[in-house]
Amino acid sequence: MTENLSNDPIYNTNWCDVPKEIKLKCIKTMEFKERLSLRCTAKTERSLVDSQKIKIFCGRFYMSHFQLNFLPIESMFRSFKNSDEAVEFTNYILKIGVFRFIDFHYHDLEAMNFTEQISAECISFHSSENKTVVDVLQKLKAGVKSIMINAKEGINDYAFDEILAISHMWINEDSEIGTIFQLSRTYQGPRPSEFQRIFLEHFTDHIVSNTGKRIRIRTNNPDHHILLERGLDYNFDDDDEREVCCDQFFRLIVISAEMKESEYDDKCMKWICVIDSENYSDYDDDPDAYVNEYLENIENDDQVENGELNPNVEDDDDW
Amino acid sequence: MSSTEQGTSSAAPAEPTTAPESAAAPEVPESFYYVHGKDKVVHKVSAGALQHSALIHGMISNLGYTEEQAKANPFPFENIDGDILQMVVDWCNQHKGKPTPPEDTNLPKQKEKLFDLVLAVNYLEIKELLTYCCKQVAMMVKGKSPEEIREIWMIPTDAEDEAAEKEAKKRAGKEAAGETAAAAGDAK
Repeated sequence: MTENLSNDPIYNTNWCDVPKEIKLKCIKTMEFKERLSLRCTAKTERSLVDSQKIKIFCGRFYMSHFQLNFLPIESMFRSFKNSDEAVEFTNYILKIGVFRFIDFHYHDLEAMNFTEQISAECISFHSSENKTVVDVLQKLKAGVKSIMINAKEGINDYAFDEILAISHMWINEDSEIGTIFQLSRTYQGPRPSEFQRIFLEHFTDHIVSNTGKRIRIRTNNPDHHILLERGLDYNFDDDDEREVCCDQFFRLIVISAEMKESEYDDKCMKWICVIDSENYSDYDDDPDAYVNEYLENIENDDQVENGELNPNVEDDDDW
Repeated sequence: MSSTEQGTSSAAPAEPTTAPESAAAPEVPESFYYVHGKDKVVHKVSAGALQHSALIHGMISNLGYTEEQAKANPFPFENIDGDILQMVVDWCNQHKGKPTPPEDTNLPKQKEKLFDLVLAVNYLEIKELLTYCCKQVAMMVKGKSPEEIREIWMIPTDAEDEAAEKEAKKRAGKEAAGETAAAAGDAK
C-alpha cells in the first residue's frame, strides 16, 4: 500500500514551483498593498491576484484618488496619474473588493466607466451625477443593505418620478416588511406638495389612507402595505415661497397590512438624522425627547432654526 | 531496511501514561506508526499526532497494524527531505490533542525550508499547519516592492517567461524533427 508513495516527485523550493492552489492560499492571507505589488511582478501572478476577493471595510472613490480602509487597521490612499489609470484601477478594486461601505464622489463632468460588478452592503453617493448613480446601481450584486444618495452639494437632477419607481419595484418584487427608502429635499428640489401630488397620481388605485403626513398604499401582496411618511411638519398657510425654502424628509417603508395607525413610529428624528446628521440629531434616547415631540407639531417655518424647534404647535395634515 | 529509528520528542511520550486508580475505565494503550523521508531516517509517531495529517490518517485508519507490523512497514515519503519531515513530525507531536494556536512562531524563516515545508504539508494534508505556513510565506513579502518580491521569490519577468517558452518550443521542435529523422532512418 505504501510502496507507490516513493514514486512521487521531489519538490523544488521556490514560489514558481508552488502549486496554484497553494499560491492562492498565500495570496488570501496577504494584505492589499502586497497583493498590488505581487500583481505587478508578472502576468501569471497578476491573474492569480485578480482572482482573489478581499474584504474592504470602507472604500472612497474619487476621479483623482481613492482611499481604502481595512479592518483592523490597514488603510491605503493613492492618487491617480490620469483618468485612464483611475478607470482601470477603480474597476480592479471594485472587481476584487467585498465592501462593507463604499462611497462614490464623482462630480460634474467626471465619468467613470464601471465595468465590474460591485459587492457592497452600504453604498453612498456624494454629489454624483444621475448617470453615475444609475451605472453603479446597475452593477450592484445582491446583498445591499442600504443606498444613500446625497445630492446636497449642487447636483440636482434626480427625478422624483424615478425615485417613486422604488414603490413600483417593491410592489413588483414583493419586498420584505421593514424595507426602507428615505430621501430628503433641499430648497433646490421639488416642493413637498409637488412630491405628494406625484405620489398620489402614481398610486391612485392603491391608496389605503391619506392623512397628509402619511400615505398608505396596498401592494400586490395582501399582507404588505407601503407607507410614505413625511418627516417634518410645517404650516405654510399657502405661502409658496416658504414651502420652497424648507428642508423636508420622506420615508417609504414596507409594513404589515395588519399594522394599525396607532402603531406608526412617530420618532422621525431617528431616521432623519441618518440622512442629515449635520443638522439633525437623534435624541431618542433622551427621556425628555422634546425635539421629536415638538418637531411633529410645528406651526411655521420660523420655528426651525439651527435645528431648534418651537414646542407650541398643532398637528398639520397638509403636505 | 537499514534505518535509524528516532523516538518521539518529550512532547509526546512513547509510553502511555498510567491511568489514575480512581478512573473507571482503563486507558487504551496508544498506537504508534513509523514514517521516513528521503534520508530514510525513521520517525516513530503516535496515531494521535498523525491525526493532523489527513493523508496519513486515511492510510492508517483501516490498516489495523500491530506494533510489530507498523514498525516493519514504515510509511515512505521519499519526496520529503528528512529535516522537513522532522519538522512536520515535531509539529504534529507538539499539537497532539491540543487546540491549534492562532500563530506559530516555530516555523522556519528560511525561504527554501519554508517552501519545502509548505509543499510537504500540502502533500500530507495538514490543514492547520498549511495555513500557518501560507501566512509565513505572505509575511516574506510584507512591505516589499514588485522588484523586491520578484527577487525574493525568483519570479521571472514576462519577457523572461516568453523567452523560456520560445526556447522550450524550439527544443521540442528539434526533438520532434530528430525523432522523425530517426524513424525515417529505421524505415530505410
